[in-house]
Amino acid sequence: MSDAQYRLPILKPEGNVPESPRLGRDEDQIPVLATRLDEAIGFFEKGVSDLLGWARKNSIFQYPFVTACCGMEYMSMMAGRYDIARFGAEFPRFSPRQADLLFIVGTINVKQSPVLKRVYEQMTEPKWVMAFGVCASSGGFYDNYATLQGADRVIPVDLYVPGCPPRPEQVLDGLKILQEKIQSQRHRLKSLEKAPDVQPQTQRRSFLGKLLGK
Amino acid sequence: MTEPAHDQDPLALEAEIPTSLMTVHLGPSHPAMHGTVRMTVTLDGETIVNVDPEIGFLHRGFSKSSENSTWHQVLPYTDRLNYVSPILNNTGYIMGVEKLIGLRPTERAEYLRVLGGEISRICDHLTCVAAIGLELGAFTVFLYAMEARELLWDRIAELCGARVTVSWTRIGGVATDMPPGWEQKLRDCLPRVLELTDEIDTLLTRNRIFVDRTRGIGVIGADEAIDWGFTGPCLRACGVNYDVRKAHPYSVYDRMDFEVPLGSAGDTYDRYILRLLEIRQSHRIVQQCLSQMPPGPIIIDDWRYALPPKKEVFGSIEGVMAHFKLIMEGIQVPAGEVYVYTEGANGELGFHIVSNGTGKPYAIQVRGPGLPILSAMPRLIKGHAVADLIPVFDSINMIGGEVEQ
Amino acid sequence: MSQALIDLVREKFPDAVVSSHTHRGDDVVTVKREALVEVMSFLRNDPQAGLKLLRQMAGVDLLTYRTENTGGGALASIEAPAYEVQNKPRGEPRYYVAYNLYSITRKHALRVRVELRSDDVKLPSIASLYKTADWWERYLFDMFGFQFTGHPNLKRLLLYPEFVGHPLRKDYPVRKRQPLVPELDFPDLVRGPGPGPGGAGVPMSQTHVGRKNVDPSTYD
Repeated sequence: MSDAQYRLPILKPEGNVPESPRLGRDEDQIPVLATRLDEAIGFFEKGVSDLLGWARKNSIFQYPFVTACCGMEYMSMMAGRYDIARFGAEFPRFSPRQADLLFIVGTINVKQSPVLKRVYEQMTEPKWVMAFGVCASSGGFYDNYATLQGADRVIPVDLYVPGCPPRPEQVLDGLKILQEKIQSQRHRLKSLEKAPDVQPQTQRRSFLGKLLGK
Repeated sequence: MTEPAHDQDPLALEAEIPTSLMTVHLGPSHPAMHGTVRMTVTLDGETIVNVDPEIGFLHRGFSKSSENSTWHQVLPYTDRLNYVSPILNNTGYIMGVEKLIGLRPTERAEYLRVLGGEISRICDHLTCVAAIGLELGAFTVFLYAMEARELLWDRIAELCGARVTVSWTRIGGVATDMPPGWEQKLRDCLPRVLELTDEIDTLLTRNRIFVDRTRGIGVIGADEAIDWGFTGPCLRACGVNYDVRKAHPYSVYDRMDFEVPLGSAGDTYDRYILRLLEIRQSHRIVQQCLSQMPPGPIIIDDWRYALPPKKEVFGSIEGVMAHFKLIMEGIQVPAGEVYVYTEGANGELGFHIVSNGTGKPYAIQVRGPGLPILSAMPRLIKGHAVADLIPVFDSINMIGGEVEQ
Repeated sequence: MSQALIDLVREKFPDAVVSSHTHRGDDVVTVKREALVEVMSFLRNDPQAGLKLLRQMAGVDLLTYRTENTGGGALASIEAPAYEVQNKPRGEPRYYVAYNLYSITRKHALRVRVELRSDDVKLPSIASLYKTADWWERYLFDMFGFQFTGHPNLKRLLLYPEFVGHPLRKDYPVRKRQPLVPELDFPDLVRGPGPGPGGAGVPMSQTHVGRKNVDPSTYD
């Protein structure tokens, strides 16, 4: 009831595509005819989606937004022992335009939050976000005036890797889960969807608007 | 009418081309800014006219958070100050609290703290050298240093329970003792660490490209460095022999035999070389600690400050009461104010601790060695090319956590 | 450590010294604000003192020094409610700034304190004497609001210009964030929606048991 005023642009597992049955409706309103459009897509579309998904998950270009102590484990993960290169994700692209995956490594504080938002907005589609460490996931134990309580307060996050700092194996496990998520999303050769809106919707929706599903 | 040839015309080469200065942000999200500094660089072509470092992008409210936690709850916050060498921060803070109480830990704990601290120092210097190499294009150096660091972190994980942020020291001692067989494993991995350090040395120290990029860059004289507040390797690179471990030996450093390497030119190359030399000296200290370590308890037996052993907590009334009071009320540190300083990996790490006699600190402020050195960045880099900014900034080894608390 | 430094200061500036003591090996001398620059200049340049390294400048707010409750362990995260803090009798002087000085050649140290009242937080800047004081004074201005007169560039160091207030003062609530970017709020995931503590739309600060007395103007 009162949670309707806050619509989080959470990226759903089946992808943030407009035809996705969940987007555009309230969570607790299940349509009478549950037509799952993605069951109906054709054989070739599915093949293309699988192929693109496979390609995208195995060639992730990271944007390491490194701030604090998790950076140490990030460096370990990039180095020889816990090699992230075996997952195809070793190439840090230091320009947001060229990157797929925004690694938020370390604490984000309030001064850094506009920078983070700007970097996220500059990234081109398709993009994913991984919150590396508890400070990026939820603020960690810095519950004070300076620290943003989790990067998901300003940008949508796909994957949270807890730990302070997480062991590199944990992060690689998270990377594998993210890869599964990427594979299961719907990929198209030509995509017309817009990026999810990161502005919080604070206006109340009218009754008529809710009826019409807006 | 013949024009003079271009290279003979006295006016041709000095022709004034109207230019304007360009301002570039090496922004807070930058691979070489160690994540958290925005340098607003004003350039005239490639030459830096002015640089204005702006910090605060990693300010996490350490002082304010520590005022709202008990003395032991502050310990994880201190880990994250200089997160590359956390045991040194833990030791520094706990020594401050012990100074306020007027208490000395057990001897074995002193040796363990020094041992852990020196291993942390080696890790910090390795990380600094790795970053210098990486950002100048020598990726192999980064990989070797990371491998050496991993070997040491394996030992730290076995000793303290965590790789990076350990929170290992306690008031009156340390939390855990060496597991069986650990000493031998450490002795076995140290030669490999030194071998990797030698590899890095071979790759960089006499490398023409590296020397050209770092010699004579970011030079500062000794008096000026002291005025700017430099301490640690950056000050010793200028030739000033100030190492807290030798000047005011604390813990068991007076029983250790080691040298303090000194530089002479005060430039980036000296700061890099010093770090490699200090790795070797730290290795000497580690060997001496291992050979001199006495058996005994790792934490004092005074239940006003240290938790009683679990056997007593579960077995006796006094143990239960002491445990209860320590957890619920915190350690009652007598009122006072103290400034404790230890040799952190980047310089003098100081804690200004004020207590009002209760179980929570009243005020703690950290003297991060990187803050004064970073404030001198404009002085170090003015007049150099923009490509020199990165080696200078890396050799300073500014760690965001300690500078910005 | 050595009483000699304190004696030297007392000898040269008898009327500037307010008090002095030694605690746990640290020598401390409290001087009057007006004489600060003179004393610091003497300590830096005099060959007997030679305190050329300004290690740190620390600030302390003594507002709750005598009355802060001790709650250890599980109770430590409850801060004194803001209204209580505002209504406590203010002991003067409320603040002091501590300058930690050191001499590398002579290996002695001294702490110089200057006390400030709550309504009068100006003091002279020593940025012209020690170059490192520049950033320390900016840090203290940022955290406490001390106005250093004569400082070339007194602006915030660690926080952003839009920030209102000075966080390390004891009457600034620890959780009061001032967001730069509009932040999303979350319904309480642990307790779920519904009336009572927790539920969507209730700020997280009001959901923790025992935290009902937190200043509601605290963001989140």
